[in-house]
Amino acid sequence: MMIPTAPILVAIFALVAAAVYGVLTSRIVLRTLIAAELLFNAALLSLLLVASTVGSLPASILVLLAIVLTAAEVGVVAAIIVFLFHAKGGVETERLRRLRG
Amino acid sequence: MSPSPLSLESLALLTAVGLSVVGAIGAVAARRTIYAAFYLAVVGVGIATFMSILGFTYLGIFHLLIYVGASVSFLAFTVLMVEAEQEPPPRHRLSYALLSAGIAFVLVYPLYLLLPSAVERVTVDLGIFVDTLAARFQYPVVITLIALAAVLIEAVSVARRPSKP
Repeated sequence: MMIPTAPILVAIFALVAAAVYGVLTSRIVLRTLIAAELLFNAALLSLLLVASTVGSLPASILVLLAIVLTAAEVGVVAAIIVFLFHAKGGVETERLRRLRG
Repeated sequence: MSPSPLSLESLALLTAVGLSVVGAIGAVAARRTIYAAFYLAVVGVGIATFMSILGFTYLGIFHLLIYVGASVSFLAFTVLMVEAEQEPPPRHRLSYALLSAGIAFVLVYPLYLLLPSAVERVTVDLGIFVDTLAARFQYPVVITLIALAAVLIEAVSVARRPSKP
């Protein structure tokens, strides 16, 4: 069964554009994390789309490992955000810029 | 009259595109961060649908279980813990939207040029998948497990660190 690639590319375009826009406009660290997750989803979909044309098995294993590591990454970033919220009283990006050395 | 498999496939594809696009726009346009996390879960469901359509059904189920079920839920709980009463709204600007669309176009257009107009639905057998994972990808799996354990320990230690001396 043949699957057209145009709708998938439209979805990838929307995900990448929304992710970049979210990173540019967000004023809370959590929003930036959510935008980065959108970009991760776009990368995952691109990898699987390319894997449909070339070898699919190694790419699917790579995607499996990437999903596991992303779950861990979300855990670490969420822990850092909770810590910063306790230490600084908020997670706004303007407030966290003061952490620069 | 029962619908043909092709129309069902097209319907699933349209549903996946709709979920992904609506979720992506909603995640950046939502006024409150908790709604943005909800829209991220919608995106996750859309991506899992895409995976199933392309033939990576097991990955789609895994994505639903691990990503939507665990990661996004964890993110939503974090949002609930740190969400302020009056959070600053995002800085929506037309110039940012145009810049984002331009960057996305630059990144996606090579894919459009390189990929064929249609791809064959792949079939990934779970037995072959697991056998290959165990036989050929032992080191990546071990390294991933070590990294997973390390970051989880780091997350616990960071969250338990006293904030004030």
